[in-house]
Amino acid sequence: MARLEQSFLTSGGRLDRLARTLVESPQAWDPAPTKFKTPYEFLISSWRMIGAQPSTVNRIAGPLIGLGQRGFSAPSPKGWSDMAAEWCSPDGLIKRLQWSQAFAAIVADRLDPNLAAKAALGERLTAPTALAIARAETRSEAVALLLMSPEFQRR
Amino acid sequence: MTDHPMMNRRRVLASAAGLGLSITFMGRPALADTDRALDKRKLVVVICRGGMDGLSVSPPVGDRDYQGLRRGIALNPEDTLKLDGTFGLHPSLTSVHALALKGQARIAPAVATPDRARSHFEAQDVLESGSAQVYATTSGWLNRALETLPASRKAEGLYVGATTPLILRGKVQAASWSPGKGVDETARLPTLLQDLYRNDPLMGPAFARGLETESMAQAAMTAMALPVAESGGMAEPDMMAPPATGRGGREGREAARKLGVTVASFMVQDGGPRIAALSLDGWDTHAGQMGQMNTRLAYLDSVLSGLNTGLGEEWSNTVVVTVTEFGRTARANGTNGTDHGTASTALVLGGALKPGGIIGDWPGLSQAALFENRDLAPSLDMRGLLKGLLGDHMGVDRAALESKVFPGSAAAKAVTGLV
Repeated sequence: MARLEQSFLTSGGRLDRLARTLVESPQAWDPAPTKFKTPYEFLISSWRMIGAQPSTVNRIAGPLIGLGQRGFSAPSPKGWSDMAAEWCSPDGLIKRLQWSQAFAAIVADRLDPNLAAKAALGERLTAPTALAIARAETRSEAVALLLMSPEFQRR
Repeated sequence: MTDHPMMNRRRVLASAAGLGLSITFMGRPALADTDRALDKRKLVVVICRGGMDGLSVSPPVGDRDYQGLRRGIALNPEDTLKLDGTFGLHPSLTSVHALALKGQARIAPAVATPDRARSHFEAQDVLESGSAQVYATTSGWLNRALETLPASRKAEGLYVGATTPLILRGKVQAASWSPGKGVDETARLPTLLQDLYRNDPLMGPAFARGLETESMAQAAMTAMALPVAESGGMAEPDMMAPPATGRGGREGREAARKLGVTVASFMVQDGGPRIAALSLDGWDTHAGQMGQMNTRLAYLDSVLSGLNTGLGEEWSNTVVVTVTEFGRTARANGTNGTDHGTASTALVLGGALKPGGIIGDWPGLSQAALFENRDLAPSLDMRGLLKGLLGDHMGVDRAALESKVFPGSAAAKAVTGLV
């Protein structure tokens, strides 16, 4: 923030400089995911992980309600919060776990969980998560672990 | 309100969430020898989101200007549940009225937060953050109140709903629960995940609290012989859908009552939460207000009735307060509704309450008395009411109330002597 403020003030308010400063800031290139996914991001990235598209909107709309992000009902004109404090709640995590288990039970047979983890997370896949997935008792447990892993829950 | 005909298949308890209700619990007493009496005290805050019309909750049928302002949405004095020479209660509030007759329910008929912008989200921000201006802080007053409790009464938080409402955000980690399929804490997957989250400062504590709360929920359900929802909910698109209006009213009332009983069942457990916050949505009645208020207030009455019966003997240690972000215009609009206004009614209930008349003054509805010639004028600052309850009832330190819980509220004098 201080960097952006400085750029704005020294350039006399030039937005091209500001944009450049933003892109050049080290935080923009840090591969460690820091934002906790919103329910929408979590669901969409889960579907992308299996390389499929939901057949009907209800497959997204229903779970979104349970996860606290009912479609088209953002609480204010500012839109949905992107703060981890709001989304990473105890019940929110329990509900994500329940959804992940149900989703994994359906899709696990089509996947190699180890490959799926590498494809979805790339270099962000940590050793403990990779190990937990590799050691899972069943494919569906492995997929649920992947979906609920700290790195998959962030972006 | 949205019409949802699918609702009738839903489990009663699961459907409670569909009323637009979510529950927020906080507080867990430590096993302290001191402050025994204070350690039993319980507080429930019901947030009515959308701007609840106080003139419908406690219609001032004895005010000479009431009928003329309200016209088509005015209630007949004989239809209201009489409180005193000026006020009645809305006919849907039968349980509240029964408590009022026992001296266990009172009204604050002209209360408002310091916000005057009449914007839902800004006013809710002020209501929940407890600050004097919008977006002044990112934590909630209920969380800060718990922060100030002494170590001997150290409190933790618990709420129901998948997201954390502002009123509870802050340093004290809150737990949460909402109706749905239970998760077995000892099952393999949760155990593996706890291991994965071991070094995660965000997900680790939140997940642990979630599992702990699930156990508590199972215990509460079993103790109250309530049905534990069998379906996962997440796979069911309409799990948290609103109930059908009209015909769904009875089912909705029953779901609301069960929700109140469930909150109570958490609170009466040993080591259970002593502070709960609960949201009830759908009060933005711009049109067709009469029917909506009949339904909504019946739900509110059912939740309060459920709390009352579920708390049993603990009711005598409890205060319940209903709050809303703003009231509505004194005059009915052209669509038999009302628009965003200023002061509204707060209901204060509980066995711990001292009997008495209205809380705060009644400014009246004469044209000269209206705020900006349109709204019921506030005679009481919401923060004063809340400071009084937190101080007298929950034993929150007075200095901390002023400096930390409601900073900048010195002009809003605490309403003392309510308990």
